[in-house]
Amino acid sequence: MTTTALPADPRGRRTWALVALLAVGCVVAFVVSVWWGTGSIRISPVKAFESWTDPDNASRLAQVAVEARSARAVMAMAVGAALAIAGSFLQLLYRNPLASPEITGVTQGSVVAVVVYLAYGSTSTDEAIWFLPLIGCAGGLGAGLLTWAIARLGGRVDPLRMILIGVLLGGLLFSVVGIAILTTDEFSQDLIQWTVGSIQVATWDRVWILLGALAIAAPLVLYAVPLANGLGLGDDIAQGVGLGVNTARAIVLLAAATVTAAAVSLVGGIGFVGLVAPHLVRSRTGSDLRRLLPASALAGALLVAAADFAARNVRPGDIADFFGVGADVAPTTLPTGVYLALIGAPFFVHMLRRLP
Amino acid sequence: MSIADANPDVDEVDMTAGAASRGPRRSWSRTLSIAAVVVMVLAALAVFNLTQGEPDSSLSQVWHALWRGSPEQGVISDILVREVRLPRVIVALMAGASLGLAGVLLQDSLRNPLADPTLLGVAQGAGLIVALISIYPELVPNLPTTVWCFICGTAAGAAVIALSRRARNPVRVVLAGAMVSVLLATLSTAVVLLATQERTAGIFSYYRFVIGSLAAVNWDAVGVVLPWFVVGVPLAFAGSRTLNLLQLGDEAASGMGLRPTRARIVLMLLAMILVTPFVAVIGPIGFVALFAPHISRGLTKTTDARHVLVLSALIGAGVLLVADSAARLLFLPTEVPAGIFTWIIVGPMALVLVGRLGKRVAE
Repeated sequence: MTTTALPADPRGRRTWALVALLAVGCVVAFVVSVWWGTGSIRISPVKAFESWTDPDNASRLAQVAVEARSARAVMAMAVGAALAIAGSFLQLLYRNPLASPEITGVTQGSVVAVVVYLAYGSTSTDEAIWFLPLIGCAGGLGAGLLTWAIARLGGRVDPLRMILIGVLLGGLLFSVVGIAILTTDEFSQDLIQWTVGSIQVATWDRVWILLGALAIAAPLVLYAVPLANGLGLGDDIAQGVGLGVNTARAIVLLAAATVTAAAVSLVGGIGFVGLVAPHLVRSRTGSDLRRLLPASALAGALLVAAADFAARNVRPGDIADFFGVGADVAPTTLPTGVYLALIGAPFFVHMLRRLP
Repeated sequence: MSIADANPDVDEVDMTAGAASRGPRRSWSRTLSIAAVVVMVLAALAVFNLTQGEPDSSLSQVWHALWRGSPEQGVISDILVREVRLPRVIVALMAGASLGLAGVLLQDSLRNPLADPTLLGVAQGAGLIVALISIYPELVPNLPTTVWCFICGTAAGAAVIALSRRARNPVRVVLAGAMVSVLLATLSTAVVLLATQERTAGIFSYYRFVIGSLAAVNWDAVGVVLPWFVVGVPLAFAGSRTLNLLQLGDEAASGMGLRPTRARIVLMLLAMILVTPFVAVIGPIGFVALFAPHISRGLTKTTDARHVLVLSALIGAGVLLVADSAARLLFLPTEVPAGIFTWIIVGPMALVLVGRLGKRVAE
């Protein structure tokens, strides 16, 4: 893969065709999510549309279902888009196609903070809706800052050190989750679900929190795009065209960390999106972020929507029933993060094999 | 002299290894004197560990406890020292030494300074099977947990190495290992989430494994790991000549009559024999295997595997004993799992070390 991106690239038209296609895909995914949502009732697009336009005539059940399902669909797509944007930035920043938001430590830091809070700190049930995301965001950005500070020890930000800190925090995360589960008085599966990322808890309140956070981060992201493109040319050229390399790196990293923290603090430690989504579109768009970013954001949205579709509709208990061991499996669905890992892993293997 | 300076990278290995084999005598005196110092520190640490706890025992109590034929009725220090603290110290020493040896085996045979069982996904591979054994024991064919951890840990490590094309590019190995670890951890979590109400006990035993702790170690655990340890350690030292040859590069090694690929597979299996039984008993212990060989190379000022193996084993043992002492004693009467402490103690040290290495290995 080349990281040189020339402004006059004939890929422009192909990119916008792809973006249009992906956007249509996202709309279809939204409609499907409302149609075959959580629970057994099917709500056709016509009925869903009626419940919006004519709320007095629509059944209360349909209204509630449409509201919950659309929130979940939007949440899934927003999370996917945010993580894909972060992944696109990081892969360019490190000039390494295997970089992903997980290596910045932000994902793990956020999950650790939330898990510790859920296990020990959460006392009242009527706390503000934005409190948990705030803790997650603070934990994520704190860990990201720590990672950056340590990675900078040698003078310039060292990707390898960042990766190792990510791994280190990941191990620490697992220990902390283990300790929390072993010592907390109120054991609940929520804690465990949070480590792999779950979109079950989506409500419109939370969706607005996420969208608000992303809107706040948007100027930073837009500001970081040309900087990241410059860094992608290589340090020497970037310096040559008058870019403060260290500052640029810090800004790009901050942009990636902010969108990651916003997404992860609402749904937990979802992985693989940031790694895989940019690769799905890069062969068409090239590495220039001005084209890569919209396409990979939509691809990420679609990816998480697809995984969430599986998460809603696949009942592991039914599969176990088929093999005659149904009684031993809890009658629940698995969180979205599990399916993302299952979808992402083959892509990842394919990617690794294609690397020079 | 800094560690990094004493740590020739892959390109310089040829020269240094050759020099070491030409002038072994002077080098051995250095290695052995350092080893003697480390052994003394280890002995002091071990004795300290035997005396400390709730309640503390005096040195004479420990002495009596160790040499009495059978524990005296009603003497608490006898039971504490013999049944609780001694096996724990022994397992910590054995596990640390094994990790130190395995680190050298992996790093030298793959010629990758970042090879480490944790980074290769071995711990998470073992974790997946432990999750299955804890929650759905009837689905897993009945073999000892150590054997299962060996099989699955090795499979995960081999997959990462194969995926990253024999681990030539260190950064790629770390990234591939990280993503494979995430995948395996996610699958383990999925198994946990599928547990029915009656199987909740299995969830707790899985997370007791995950946190990495020596708290549950007793003489049975010593018995479980001892055979592997007794087989693995001599074989590791027997492999030192092969390691030195592999350091020279594949062409030179095959010129000396070695089959590099076969040797690499054997050495990796050997590393797994050393590491995975301990993972099964005390859980994943991070970064010791990465860290100990580098320190050892820095101290011996050579990359000759014979020297590095000796010191790396001792340093690994020391690090794990310190981590476990901290875990057991710092917050008496409660205990923090040693896993946390190895992450906290060894992690930052490994980061500084690797940061220095990073300048050389980064693409």
